[in-house]
Amino acid sequence: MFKKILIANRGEIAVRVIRACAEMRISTVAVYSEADRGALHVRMADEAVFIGPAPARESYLVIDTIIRAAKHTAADAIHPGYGFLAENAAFAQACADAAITFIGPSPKAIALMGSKVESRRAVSRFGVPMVPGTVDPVERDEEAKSIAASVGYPVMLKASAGGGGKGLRLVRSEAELSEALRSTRAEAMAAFGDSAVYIEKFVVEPRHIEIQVFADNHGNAVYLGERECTIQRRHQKVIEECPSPVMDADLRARMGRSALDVVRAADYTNAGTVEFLVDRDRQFFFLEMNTRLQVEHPVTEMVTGFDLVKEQIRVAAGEKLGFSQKDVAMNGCAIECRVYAEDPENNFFPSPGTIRLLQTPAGPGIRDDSGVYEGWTVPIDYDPLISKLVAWGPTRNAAMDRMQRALREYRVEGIKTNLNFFMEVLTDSEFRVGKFDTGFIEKWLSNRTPPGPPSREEVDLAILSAIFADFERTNSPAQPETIEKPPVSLWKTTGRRAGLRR
Amino acid sequence: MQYKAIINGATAEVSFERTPAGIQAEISGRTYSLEVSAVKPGIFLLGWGSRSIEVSVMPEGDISMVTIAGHRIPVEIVDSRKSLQRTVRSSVRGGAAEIRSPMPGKIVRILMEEGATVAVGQGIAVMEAMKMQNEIKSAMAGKIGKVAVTEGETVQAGALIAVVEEIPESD
Repeated sequence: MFKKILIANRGEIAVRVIRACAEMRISTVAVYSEADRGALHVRMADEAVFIGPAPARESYLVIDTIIRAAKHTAADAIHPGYGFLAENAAFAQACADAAITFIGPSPKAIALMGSKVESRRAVSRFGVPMVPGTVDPVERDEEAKSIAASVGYPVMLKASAGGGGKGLRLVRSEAELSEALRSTRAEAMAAFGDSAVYIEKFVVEPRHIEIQVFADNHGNAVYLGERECTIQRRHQKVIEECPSPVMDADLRARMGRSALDVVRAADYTNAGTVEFLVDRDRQFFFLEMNTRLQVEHPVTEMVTGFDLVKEQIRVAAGEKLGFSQKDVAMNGCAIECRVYAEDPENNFFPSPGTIRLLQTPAGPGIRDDSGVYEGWTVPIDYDPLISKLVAWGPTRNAAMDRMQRALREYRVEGIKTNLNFFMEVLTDSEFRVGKFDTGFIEKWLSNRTPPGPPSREEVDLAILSAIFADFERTNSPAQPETIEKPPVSLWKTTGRRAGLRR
Repeated sequence: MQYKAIINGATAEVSFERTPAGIQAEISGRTYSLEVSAVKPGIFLLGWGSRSIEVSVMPEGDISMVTIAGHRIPVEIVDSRKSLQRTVRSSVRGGAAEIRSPMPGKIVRILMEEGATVAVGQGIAVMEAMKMQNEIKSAMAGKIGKVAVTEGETVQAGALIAVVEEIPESD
């Protein structure tokens, strides 16, 4: 087993990995940029190495610097977390070249699954279902017409070099096709410098469901159930759950087998996630594979009982998987809310700044994977995720009730967060019954009825609290700078304390 | 002691006494007798009859942001000792609106030139923070009187981005 692991990441995921290492008695090395000197992951690690200025491309994304930090501290493995260098084949290769174990798949598997065209080509050979259409760019209009006719309208035109929702166009009939091809090509050329476009069948009312897979270096591979990730805003997941409300044992087994076919196609090892689109008739189609630990991995951990990070470390160290497919059982339901430093009342503007007050929820079934603390200044340079709040319950209803209770306990002041947004979504009747597709949040936001105003009593109590706080500030005893002044009467302060404690 | 509290433009007259246990107060004929415990800086526990209500109070410039039962209520307090001459907080005054940055970040693009006309909600500049780009939008319709930032500039929260002026009616 490894003696020391360097975590090439920051924030909550670095903290998550440090916790797994601490339980395994493995020593940890944090890396940090200028903006992260006092960050929670730095406070929690055994050692910490400064790696450069705040912008990620000058610190967390610099391969050489991170390899040097690992060598300098004699770390024998690197955990990349997610984001940053986690799906960078060159980084995995640089680790191998430096004789440091990369906790993740091989550089080859990362590169293969990182290519939209190559990955589709590889998995199609294993019969994994894919959205009908072409993999290769469509050159001529006549060719486009015959492909669109064979998969059936509506179809999607997609820029080969595209991503993030850009270079996409929905075509409902053949009459729209030529014009749509022309404009999508032009848009793709302008945005990505590449006018190549391909055609896919448009999936109606799609849900985004992913399968967690795990494979060791000895040929063993299992799937650990699914995660429902349909609740997204601007292609960013905001609420995830396990299991999916539309899943049954048969569909899970079929999707699980397809996910394992993807593992074979990529000769994949360690933890990975196979993303699928599922349509309203519960047909599923391969989207892509994420070759790393997912942000939303805790919901799988809560329901299956496995510790995915520890399992990643064991597999990377060459051990066999500690369980087989028949050991995987799903118990209850878990929901995760991604708590972001952003302002839902102002178009979800990011809200970095100093956390002046933080009270996190606890109690039965609640897990808060946080990367911050009271007094910490959330930097402007990185992702606004500050914590992942996870609720587990024996049923989906119980998990939702617990999540609502935990959201009510959660207090963050100084920065804005989306906690109230989750409170509202969790009361939505369609969400409560699990009836949604990837357009849910957009629709919900446009139909949203804002919560009622506070009652007159609540406003009165708010006024009195504000006056009280003001009063205490201006009349508070013994400020540090008044130390020269005669001491305040002990009787008075004792009386005041007694009043406060009552 | 007499206070004035201003909430979203509405003023309430408050008579407030600090008692050993907490607060004795009256607001527009409604009387309150509260026990108050300071849980930690910024958090108070109010005992109101048998009810127990936790509130947080965070000073933000001239106002206190009070969170109670999930509601965030901005309260501005003017007591009898304080000068009544307060700074005008409204950003719209004298037919012009100051458009300020809601957060620290970097200006990546200016969308409007000085002299251009804008509608309410139209973007004036694009700002990047935390890996995301967002438009800073105009709070009123009018003409861009001044653009106070340049592309590539890093600005703090509250920094002046632009001034939008009212277009005088020409009839």
